[in-house]
Amino acid sequence: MTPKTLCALLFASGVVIGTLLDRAPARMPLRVDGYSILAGDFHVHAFPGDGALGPWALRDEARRAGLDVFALTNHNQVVAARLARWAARLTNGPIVLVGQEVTNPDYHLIAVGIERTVNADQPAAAAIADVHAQGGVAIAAHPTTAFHGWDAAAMMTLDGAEAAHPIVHDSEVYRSDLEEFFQRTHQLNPRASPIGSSDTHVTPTLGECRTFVFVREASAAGVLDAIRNGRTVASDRDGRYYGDPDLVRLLERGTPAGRADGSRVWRRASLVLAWSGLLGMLLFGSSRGPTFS
Amino acid sequence: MLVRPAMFLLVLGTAVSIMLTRRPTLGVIAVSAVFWSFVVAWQLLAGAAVIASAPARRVGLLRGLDLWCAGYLPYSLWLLVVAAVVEVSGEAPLVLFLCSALIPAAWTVMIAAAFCRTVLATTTAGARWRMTLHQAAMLGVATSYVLWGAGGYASVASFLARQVGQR
Repeated sequence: MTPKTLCALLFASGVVIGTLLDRAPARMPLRVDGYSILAGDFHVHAFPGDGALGPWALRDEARRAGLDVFALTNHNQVVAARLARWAARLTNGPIVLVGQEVTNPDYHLIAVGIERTVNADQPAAAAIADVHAQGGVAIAAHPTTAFHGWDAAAMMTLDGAEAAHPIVHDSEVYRSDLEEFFQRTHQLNPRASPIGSSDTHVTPTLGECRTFVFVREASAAGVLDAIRNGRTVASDRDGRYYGDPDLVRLLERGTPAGRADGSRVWRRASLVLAWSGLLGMLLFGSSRGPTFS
Repeated sequence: MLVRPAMFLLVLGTAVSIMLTRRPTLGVIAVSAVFWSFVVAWQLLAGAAVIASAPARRVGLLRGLDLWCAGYLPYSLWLLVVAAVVEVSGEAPLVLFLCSALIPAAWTVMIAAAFCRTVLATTTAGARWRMTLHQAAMLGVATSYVLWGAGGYASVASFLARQVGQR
């Protein structure tokens, strides 16, 4: 057996183990006081766009991440999101919502539940009005003080704001920026929802920060209704909750499911086998390649 | 002729699978390889243009393309390293990745320039202008895709300004 064949076998065995491990258990949403509590991530990027994972694979990853619903929100386009929703009709799994990260130099706005691209070249209040006209909800994305496009007129019409986002783990300044922004939004619109989002692009962080949505009906319409009416709790990577204390208490009565990665040992084994096998295939494959001088 | 491009796509698909799902699965590798195959298609197109521009070349177009694809090795190794870093750290530090990408970029230019001189029998100056045009074409497409994916020029400019402002 040649070294290259051995490496190919290593790679194949890694992929086989990884594929066999890929079985996320079916889960039922928590039910408390007449609400179903869905775990959601409303800020996710995918290919084609500045995310790397395709819309098809994203839904499987959402299932693994223990999500019941997610919105695909690429920058200023809804192509990938519509592809994801189309693909979702073929199988059972998490609810897929069409979204867009309306990306303006002065603000980033998550539009969820839309059908057409929202024009990003306008003030935030006008973009929010466009989102509402399409029946969607508008959420301020990572609203740190670096974004200057949020005036009172825009904030009072927001349906939600990201209170938990991976940047809160980077710096306490960002954490307080997001908390203050949400408090100000909440004062202007008491129904504004706290949102937790992963903003996943090229890392395995889907659902790491997430939103627990208290729905009366586990459907896209039910999720949008809950966000419009402030029935959410945001959660960060450390499991810290942001939101209405009554809803947090309801949430704490159950144990929300997290990721379902299966056996850590076998997952690591599959990674090491596939990675080292591929490295060997590259190196042994190129050793008999051309030499240029 | 298709072995090297297929190998690159395998690496690309596996890297995506590891970085985004923490495991190598057949479905994600296959779908990602198909989605990202436009990168290889564009590379092959650019390679064919470079090869066709050299009338004194020592090989035919197909063999030339096969040898041209040997230049995928640096980026293949870089992708594997990036995937390992994301798996171990759980993060994708943008600046580190962009800076580290200069290594395979420079290495690829050296391989491609040597390819021009040895296989295409060009002069050093001929190799240089071909590589300049090739890199400009690659950078142009990559930049266009990033700008489109990130929401446009103004958004990227403001993102970079915020990154600089933080430092």
